[in-house]
Amino acid sequence: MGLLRLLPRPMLAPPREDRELAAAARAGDEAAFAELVRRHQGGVRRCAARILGDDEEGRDVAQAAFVRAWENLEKYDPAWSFSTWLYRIASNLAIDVLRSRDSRDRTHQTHFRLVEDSETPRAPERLAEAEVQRIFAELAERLTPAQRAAFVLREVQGLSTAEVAEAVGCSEATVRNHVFQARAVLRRELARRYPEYLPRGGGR
Amino acid sequence: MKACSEVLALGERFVALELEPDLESKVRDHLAACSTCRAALVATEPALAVSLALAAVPPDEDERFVGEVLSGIRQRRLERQTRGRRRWWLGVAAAAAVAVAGSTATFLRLHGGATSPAVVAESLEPTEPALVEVEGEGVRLYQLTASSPGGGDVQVAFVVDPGLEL
Repeated sequence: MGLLRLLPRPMLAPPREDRELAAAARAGDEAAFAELVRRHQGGVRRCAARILGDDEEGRDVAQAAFVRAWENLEKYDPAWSFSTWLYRIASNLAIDVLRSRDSRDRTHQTHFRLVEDSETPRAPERLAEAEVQRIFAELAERLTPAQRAAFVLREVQGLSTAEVAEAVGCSEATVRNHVFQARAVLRRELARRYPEYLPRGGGR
Repeated sequence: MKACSEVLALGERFVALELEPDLESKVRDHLAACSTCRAALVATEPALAVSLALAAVPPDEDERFVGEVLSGIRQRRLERQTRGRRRWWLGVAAAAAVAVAGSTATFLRLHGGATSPAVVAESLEPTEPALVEVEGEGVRLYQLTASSPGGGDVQVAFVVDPGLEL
């Protein structure tokens, strides 16, 4: 057990730059932390926005996650990548928000806002983005907060199962379970609401 | 970047979440650029239509967000400092309140317990709140009493930020 703990975790090792920046930030270097924010803001914001189904709320949660990370830098374990640690903070904050809000009202507000966005003239690829985000926000209404977090981190952000387990605070088996359940719900809801997006033949 | 044949051969393990992270990352890179392989995998797992499309959306990045985070950090630091100072002031306030209450009680004992709070206030003649210095800053000491002789016997002392007006 002791030996195992001493072995490096090559697949989970963060880029050296992140670890160095985190150490500098821990010593009070704001510029180093700003670089970490610059580097990871895209992923963290997207993760929070997908879990919440709301870009604006996702931005607020991501901001709160970075501030919390700064305040808790002494708790960061360099054995894990800095981004995994950030995703853990952000997904936990997003799950808290999700559990505390009236999901029905929020989903409707999100739906209307995204519909409004998609009605403004935009480039075709942006329209496609808005469409897929709107559909996911709508379908994700059927997922539990844990399923949403696991699905977004594993399937959208592309984190490894081990990293998602660390971020969400559960076992790898539970992460797989959440992802498979989320997929099943999305398959069912896609078939019911958006059959045109399903491949001909219906897949599974 | 892998060839289509390699990616399709790994498709089943990709869907089952069984690929090693490095290998999965290469498959994801390929899927991001190859609509044929994407369609093939979506045919086996329709939910991938959503996740792969979401993964392809470029993340928003802007310098304004970085500035907002740094402002948030400074704001929290300021709040912590203010809270610390407020705690210190509250200690001073509690001590001052005890001192005022004690001296008032002594005054009442010496001049008769029947004296109303309003009379006490008149006796002390607090025309201006006392100003004391704490950490180089002025702090006003207020004493509130009942406004009429029959209005009760409640007395409260406050130490407040001189920037605030009662």
